[in-house]
Amino acid sequence: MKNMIAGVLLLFVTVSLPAQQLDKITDYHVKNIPFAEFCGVIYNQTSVRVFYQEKWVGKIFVTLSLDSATAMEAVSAALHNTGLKVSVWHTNLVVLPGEKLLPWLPPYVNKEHLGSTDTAAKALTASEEKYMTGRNADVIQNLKIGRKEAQVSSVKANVTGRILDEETGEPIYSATIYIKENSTGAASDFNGFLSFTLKPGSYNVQFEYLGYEKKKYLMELYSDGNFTVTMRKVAIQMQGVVVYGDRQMSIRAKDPGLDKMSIKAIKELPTMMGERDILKISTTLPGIVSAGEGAAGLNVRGGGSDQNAFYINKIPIYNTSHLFGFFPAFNADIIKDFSIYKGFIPAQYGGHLSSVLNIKTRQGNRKHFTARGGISPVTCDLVVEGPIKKDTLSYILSARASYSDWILKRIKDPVISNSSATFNDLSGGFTYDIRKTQVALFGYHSYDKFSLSDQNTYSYSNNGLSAVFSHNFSNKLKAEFSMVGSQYSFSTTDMQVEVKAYEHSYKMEHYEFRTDFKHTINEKNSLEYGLGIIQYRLNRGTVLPYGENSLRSTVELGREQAFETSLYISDSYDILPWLNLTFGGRYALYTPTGPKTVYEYTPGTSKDVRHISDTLNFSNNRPICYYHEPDLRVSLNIETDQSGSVKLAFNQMHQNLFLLSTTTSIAPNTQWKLADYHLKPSVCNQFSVGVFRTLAELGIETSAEVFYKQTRNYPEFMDGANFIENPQVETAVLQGLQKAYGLELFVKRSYRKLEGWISYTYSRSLITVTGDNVWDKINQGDQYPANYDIPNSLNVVFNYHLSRRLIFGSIFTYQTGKPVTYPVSVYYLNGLPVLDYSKRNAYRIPDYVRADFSVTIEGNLKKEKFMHSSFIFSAYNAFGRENPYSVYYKVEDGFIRSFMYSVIGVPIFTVTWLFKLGNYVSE
Amino acid sequence: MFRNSRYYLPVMLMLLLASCIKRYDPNIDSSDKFKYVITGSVNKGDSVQRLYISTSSLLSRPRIIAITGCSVKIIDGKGNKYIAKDVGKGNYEAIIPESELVTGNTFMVDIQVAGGAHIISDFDRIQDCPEVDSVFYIREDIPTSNPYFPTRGIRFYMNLNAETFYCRNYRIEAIETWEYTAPFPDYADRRVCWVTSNIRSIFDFTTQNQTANIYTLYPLHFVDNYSSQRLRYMYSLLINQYSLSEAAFTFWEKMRINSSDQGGLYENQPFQVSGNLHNLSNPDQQVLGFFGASAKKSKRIFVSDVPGLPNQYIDCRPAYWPEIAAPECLDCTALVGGTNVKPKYWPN
Repeated sequence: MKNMIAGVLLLFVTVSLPAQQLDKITDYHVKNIPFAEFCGVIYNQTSVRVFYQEKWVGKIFVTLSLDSATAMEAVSAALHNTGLKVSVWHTNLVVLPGEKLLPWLPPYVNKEHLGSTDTAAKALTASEEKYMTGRNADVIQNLKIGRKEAQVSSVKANVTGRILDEETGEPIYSATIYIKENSTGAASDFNGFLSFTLKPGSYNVQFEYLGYEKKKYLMELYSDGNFTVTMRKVAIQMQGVVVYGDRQMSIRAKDPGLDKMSIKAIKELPTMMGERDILKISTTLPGIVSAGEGAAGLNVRGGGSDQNAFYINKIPIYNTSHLFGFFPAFNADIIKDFSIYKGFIPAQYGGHLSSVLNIKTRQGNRKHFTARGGISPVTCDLVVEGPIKKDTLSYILSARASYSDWILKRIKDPVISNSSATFNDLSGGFTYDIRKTQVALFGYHSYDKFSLSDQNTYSYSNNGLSAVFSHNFSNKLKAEFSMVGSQYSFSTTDMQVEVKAYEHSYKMEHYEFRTDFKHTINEKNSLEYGLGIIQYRLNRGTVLPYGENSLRSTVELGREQAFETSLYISDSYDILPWLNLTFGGRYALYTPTGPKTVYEYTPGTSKDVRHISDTLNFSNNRPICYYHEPDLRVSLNIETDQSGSVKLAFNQMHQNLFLLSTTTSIAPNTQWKLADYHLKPSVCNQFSVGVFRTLAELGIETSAEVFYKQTRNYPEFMDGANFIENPQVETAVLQGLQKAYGLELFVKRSYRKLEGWISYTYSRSLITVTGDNVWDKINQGDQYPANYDIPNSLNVVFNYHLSRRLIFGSIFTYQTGKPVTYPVSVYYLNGLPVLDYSKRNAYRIPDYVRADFSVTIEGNLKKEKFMHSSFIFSAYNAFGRENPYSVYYKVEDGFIRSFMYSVIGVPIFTVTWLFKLGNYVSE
Repeated sequence: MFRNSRYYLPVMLMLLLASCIKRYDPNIDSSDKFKYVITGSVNKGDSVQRLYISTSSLLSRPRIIAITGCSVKIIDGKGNKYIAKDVGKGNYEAIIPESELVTGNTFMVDIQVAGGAHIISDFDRIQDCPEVDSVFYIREDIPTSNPYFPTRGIRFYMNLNAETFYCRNYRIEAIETWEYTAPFPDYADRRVCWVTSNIRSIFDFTTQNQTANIYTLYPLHFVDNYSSQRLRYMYSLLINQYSLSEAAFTFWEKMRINSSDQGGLYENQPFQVSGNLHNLSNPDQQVLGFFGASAKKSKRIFVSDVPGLPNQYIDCRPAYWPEIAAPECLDCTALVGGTNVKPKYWPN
C-alpha cells in the first residue's frame, strides 16, 4: 500500500498536470468495488473522465483509502501492480496496458540529476510532504532513483549512492545505508560511494554515520541509477569516546575483528605530553597491547610489532612513531578514519601476519578555507585546507614540529643539556572529484633526530607519495588504480664506547602499483578483485668505524631487492538474509632478485660463516628463488537476531618482510629485512569466533571473541645474534613456530553522558624453535613466551560529559609484565666470574598499572564565531606509579645489583590548546 | 667482566626527569639459584689434568661454592678410566699418561657428587695445536672525555700460524705477572713483590671462515701506564693457546658474546649457555660449564721500558704516611695475590 502511494506521488512529481480538475485534491475511501465503479467515483468528485477498455479492467476490484489525493494518484493507486498505466490526455485520464501516453515531450533531464535528492525534494509540494510525513512520521525526504520508463519490475536495479558532508563537501567514509524492508545495507567507501542491488520498488532507507544527523528517506527505485545524499554534523551529539563501527555495523559488518576509531574518540581522552595518539588509544581495545612507554609498535593478538601493516592513504609506513614511540608520527588533525583489521583481513591486504592498521586522511574542505591546529608542551601543529575549485578540487596541508630542545637546555645535567631531540612531520593531499572519477594525491614526510650528548645520534625518516585514481565504470563496477612509493631510512652514530663507535645508514624503498575492482553482481553478491606489484629495495648499508679509535671493522650489510606480485579475489554472498559468507583468496608470488651473493652452507652444520660451502652470484634482477602459496580468507557472519551476531573467520597470511630486532621495542636502528634464499616467508593461519550483542536501550555494545593462530617460519633471533655486525642474517636467525591464542571481552557504552569502554584480553604468544641439531634450537628447543607475550590486559576508558563544554576523561590500564631473561646466578669459569641466565623469557618484570585523567574545556557554543578553541588538561600516570620498563644489572662495589628502570615514574601534567576556524561543530 | 645489562633505552629528553631507576630484587626460582658448575679439560701438554666442581652462587653474593668429596673419573675413548683425586677447594686432579694424550683421542668425565647428582659430559676430542706464533704489543691511546688526555698504554696482540694444522678453533688464556713496589715498606722484604692473575676476558677465535689457517693481530687486553705499576718495572704475559673442538668453540664463543659489554643503546639480549654436561639424576637440572679435551701450547713474553711511554703511576703520597696510607704502601704483600717470592722465570 505504502509503495503504491509513493509510486503515485512520484509520478505526479515527474509529470505536472495541466488541467484544473486533475489538480483537485479529495479523499478516496472505497472498498472492493469494480474499477468501472471507481471511475464513477472519480468523475463525481473531480469531473475527470477515465478512459479504458473494459477487457483490461474487468477483473480489477479497488480497495483504497487515500486522503488528499488527485484523480491521477487515485487511479494510479488503484492500478498498482496490474501492469496498467494511467496517463493524462487533455483533461482526462487514459488507462493503457504497460505504457504511458506522452501528452508532450518531457523536458530534458540529465539522468544523474534525476536521482538527486535535491530535485526530488524540491519537486514535492507542501501537501505531498505533509501527506507523507503524516503517513510515516520519520520519512522526511524522498529519494527517487532511475527512470520510471526504464523500470522492469523483474530486473533488479543497481544503485550507486554517494554520501557527502553537507558543510565541507567531503565524502563520508563508512557511512551506512540501512534498507528497512529487507534488513540489508551497505557502507560507503573512502570516496563516499556505496552501491547495492535491489528490486525496483519503494523502500524506507536510513543513512547513518557517527556524529552526523541520521537521515531517513523514502526511496523510490525504478531502475539503475545514482543519488547523492548530504549529511550534516550534529552539534547535540556527544562527540566523545566512540570506538565504532556504528551500532548497525557492529552487528552486521562482515569483518570480525575490525575495529574502527574515530579521531574524536581520542580528543577528550588523557594524553601523554599533550599529544593525541590514536595508536596509543588503540591499545585500550581488546587484543592490542603496546610494550610500554617508549616502546614503539603495537602487538596485535600475540603478534610481533613487525606483523602489523600500517598505511596512511595507501602509503606503507615502516616506522610509525616519533621519539622511540612516545609520539605518533602523524598529525591527529588530518585523520578521518582509522581502522584496524585483526581477525578477518580482507583479501586485498597481505604481507603482514597480525593486522592491518589503516589511516585515511581527510581530503580537505571543498566549500571554504579553514584551518586548525594545536599547541602542546612538545609540539605545535597546523592544518590548512580548502577548495581550489569549489566542490571539485580541494587540498589539505598539515605540518607538525617539535620544539622540545628548549626544555633540554634548561636541565643542569650536562649530558641532557647537550642532547637534542627534534622531530617533524608534513603531509599534504589534493583531491580532484568529478562525479564518477576521483583523483587523489597524497604526500607524507616524517623526520626524527635524537642525539644524547656526544654518545649517540639517531635519525630516521619516512617519505611517501601515493596517487590514486578511482572511477565508477558503472553502478556495478568500481575501480581504483594506485601508485605508491614509500621510503624509510635511518642513520645511527654510536659513540658511546669509543673503540666500538660506528656509523650506519640504512634505507628501504617500497614501490607499488595496484588496481582494485569492486563488482556488484546482484543484491546478494558482490565481488572484489585486483592485482598489485610491489618492488622492495633495501640498502642495509655499511657499518663504518666512527672516529680514529674505533676498533670496528667495516661491515657491508648489503643490498637486497625483491618483487611481490599478488592477485586477489573475494566474494561476499548473502546466502540467507541472516547469513553472509565472504570467501576469498590471495595469491602472491614473492621473488627476491639479484644483484646478490648468496652463500650455501655445508649440509649437517649450522648456518655459520665458518661452514660456507659455496657462493652463488645473482646478477641484477635475476630471480634468486620463488615463494608462492595461496592465502585463504573466509568469514561467516550469522545474524542471530536483531541485536546479535556470531562471526567466524579463517584467515591466512604471508609475510615477506621482517624486523631484525633482539629487543622488545622497535629501536630506531632496527632494520627491516626481506625474506631471501635462506629466510623463508612466514605463514600464519588464524581462526576466530566472535559473539556480538547490542543492548540498544542501554546504549551498550558487547563482544566476546576467541582466536587461535599459528605461524610457521616465524623468524627468531638466535642467542647472541647481532644484526649490526652481520651481513648474513641467516646465521643469526632461526625460524620456528609461533602459537597465539586468546579471549577478548569488550563492553562499550556510547551516546550517554557517561560513556566509554572496558576491555579485557587474555592472550598468549608462545614460540618454539627446534630442529634435529643443537644449533637448530633456541632455548634448547623448548617453548618459551615471545618478548611481547602479555597474558592479561585490562583497560577501562571513561568519559563524563558534565556539559557540552566540560568533559572529564580517564584511562586505566593494567598489563602483565613483559617476559624477560634474568641473570639468575653467578659462577666461575677458570676463575672468571660469569652470569648464568635463565631460560629465554622465563621471568617477567613487574606488572604495569597506569591511570590517566583529563579535563577538556571547549570554547563557547556560539554559532557565529571566527574560531573555536579548546583546552585539554591531562595528567598522565596520575598516581606517579613507577612502572618498570626494564630490569637491568650492574656491578656496584663488587656486587651485582639489579635495578628497575621506569621511563616515567612521576605524573606528567600537560596543557594542550587546540583551535579551529569556525564554531564548535565545524570541520 | 660482568655483562653490564644496561638498557639505556629511551633515555630521553625531559623524560629523563620523569624516568627513574631504583633497586629491585626479582624473585629467582630456587631451581635457578644453584646449579652444578664443572670446568676443566684434559690438555695435551699438561702433566696434571685439573677439574673444578662448584655450584653457582647468588647474584647478591658472588663466590665459588666448592664441592668436595665427589668421585670423579675421566674416561677416554678407548675405555681407559682415570680417577681424579679431590685435592680440596673443589679442585680435582688426574694424571693421564702422555701416551694417551694424543691428537684424536677423546675424553669425558663422570662425576658422582657426594650424596647427590650423577653428572657426565660428552666426549671431546683432542685437536692438534701449533706453537704460539708470536705475542707482542702495540702502543695505543684510548681516548677519554678529555681529548687532550687520552689513556696511554699498550695493547697485546698475538698471531697464529697453523698452516700445516687441521684445527681451526682456538682459545687463548692470558695470565699476567708484574713486579711492583711498596714505597714505604715496613720491612725490606716487603718492598718488592710480584702478582699474577688471569686476564678477565674470554679470548677465542676461529679461522674457519678464512682460506688460510692463519690469524694475524688477534687483539688481547690493554694495559695503561698510570692506574697501576704494571708498566713500571717489568710485566710478563703468559699465553696459553688451546685447540678447540667445534663443540668447545661454540661454548666459548657463546660465553664470550654473553659476557662482552656490547655498548650501544639497544643492545643484544643475554642468553643461557649450555655446555656439554648432563645431570643424569635430574635431567631437567642444567649443569653449567664445559669439560673439554685439547692440546695446549704456551709462550711467555716480558715487557719493560715501553718506548715513548713513561710510567705515570703515582705512588702513595707521603702526606698520608703512615697513619692512613693504604696497607700496600707499607707492605707489598698486602695487595691481593701479591707475593714477595720472585717467580722462577723472572729475569734478574
